[in-house]
Amino acid sequence: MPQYFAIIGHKDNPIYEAEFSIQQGNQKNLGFSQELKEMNPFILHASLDIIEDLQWQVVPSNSQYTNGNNSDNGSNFSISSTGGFLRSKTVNNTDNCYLGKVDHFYGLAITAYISYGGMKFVMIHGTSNSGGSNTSASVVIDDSACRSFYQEIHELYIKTLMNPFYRAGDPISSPVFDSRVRSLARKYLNK
Amino acid sequence: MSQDIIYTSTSDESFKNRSTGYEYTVGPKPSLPDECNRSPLTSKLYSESLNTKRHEVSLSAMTFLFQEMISSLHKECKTVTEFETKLSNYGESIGSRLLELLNFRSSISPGSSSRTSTFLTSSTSVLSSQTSAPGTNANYTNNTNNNNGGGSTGNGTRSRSNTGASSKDYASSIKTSNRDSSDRHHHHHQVESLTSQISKMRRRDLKILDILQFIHGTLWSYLFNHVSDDLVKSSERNNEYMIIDNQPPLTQFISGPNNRISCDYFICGIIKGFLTNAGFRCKVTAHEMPQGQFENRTVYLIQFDNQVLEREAIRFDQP
Repeated sequence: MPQYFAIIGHKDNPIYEAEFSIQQGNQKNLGFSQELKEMNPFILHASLDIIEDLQWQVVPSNSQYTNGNNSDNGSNFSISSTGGFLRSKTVNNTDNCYLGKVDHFYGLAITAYISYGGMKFVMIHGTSNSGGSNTSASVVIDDSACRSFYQEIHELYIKTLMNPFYRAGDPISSPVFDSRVRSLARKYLNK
Repeated sequence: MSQDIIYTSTSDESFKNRSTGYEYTVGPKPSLPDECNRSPLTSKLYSESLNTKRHEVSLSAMTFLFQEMISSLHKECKTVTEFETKLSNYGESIGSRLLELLNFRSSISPGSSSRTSTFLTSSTSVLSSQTSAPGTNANYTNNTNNNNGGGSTGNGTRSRSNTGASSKDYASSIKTSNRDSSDRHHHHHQVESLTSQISKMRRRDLKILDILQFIHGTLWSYLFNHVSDDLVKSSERNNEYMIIDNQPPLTQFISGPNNRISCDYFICGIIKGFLTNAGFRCKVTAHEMPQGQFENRTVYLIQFDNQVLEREAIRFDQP
């Protein structure tokens, strides 16, 4: 299944984008269809509101519905009900960097991660034949692999930030960063 | 950035793969079939570990650099306010970087560090023991032992320009591991990524007090080898907090109280960059408040924006 990954900055500006698709032998490219390729940035930006809401929640997951003894339960109940039901249930709720699944769009799933500096790492997970609109089965997300992927990207991002010639908020154009991200995607996402 | 032409569509073949990296005017580059076979690109920046390395920048070298910054700003600025703003801007870019770096380092589980000494000897011990790389905790205890809180007296501030200092360390680690090429490869592989050592990421700080504690403790230890001398909430105004340093090490050689305070705006900038990027918009100013034996005692006054207080009230102050 193909993915579209992007790092979004403080002003909702893209810092980095990439598309990952699997190549199986001589089969045709199993990536996003051309229309979807152009829709991806819009789909991704539509989920930013949900991410910004989850950013300031004590427990950014829907586990608080079942977990009644949470002290901050009252304040978050109404807020999280906007995005909460969409989220994957297996997210470890002590971790507020990885947000898990935050949104969906016609069978595509959107996962997110927020860095300490407020950079949003967002990814659209497509189904393997996402070109056809008749696919109703939504994507299953492997949360632990996804979390590791985001953490590795986070580390790479910090390394980029350590470059004194890189200004925070600029697009990351380094080919090394690009190739690292792609090899991470192969490692964690397209097994 | 704004002058560049934005090409309308990602479907335009003529612009595909024009550059090897990400080109924001073109859009995302799809994975290519031959990519799996290509040897990975190497770069010092990305193959280094983000882990804590124990190296200090000598105070005299840092002061010399700081002096140059100040004198160049003096030439170009007409008013004191302009000077303070520009110096603060220098600090901000450091603060925003430290926010990511220090939080990430705090995420590394303390169990993964088996050593107390982290300098030079580290690379050999990484090779022998499988557990690799120093954890942050070991380093902090080290720091506090060396310097018991009363301000560093010529011990030097810690590295601010991270890349410069770390490349040195990289060189030394390569040197020691050159002995055996297979060992070296092993070493390289282990040090590169820290994610395997992180069982749980440190939570992002959502409350004012939490993040101020982090500045008071971790950030100050990183910069000056000791925690800040005090962290106070203003009794008069709700949005004001103060971080107090009895003897600011960086500006200790600057004479004249007013000059010195202006130069402390560099530290203000670091605090501001740290807080603003974490989502706590604020203004930071430096004030002199001598007390007892500490003539240079400096108070960094942090005034949070109203939006920060409002958010905190909405999110956390419910019964």
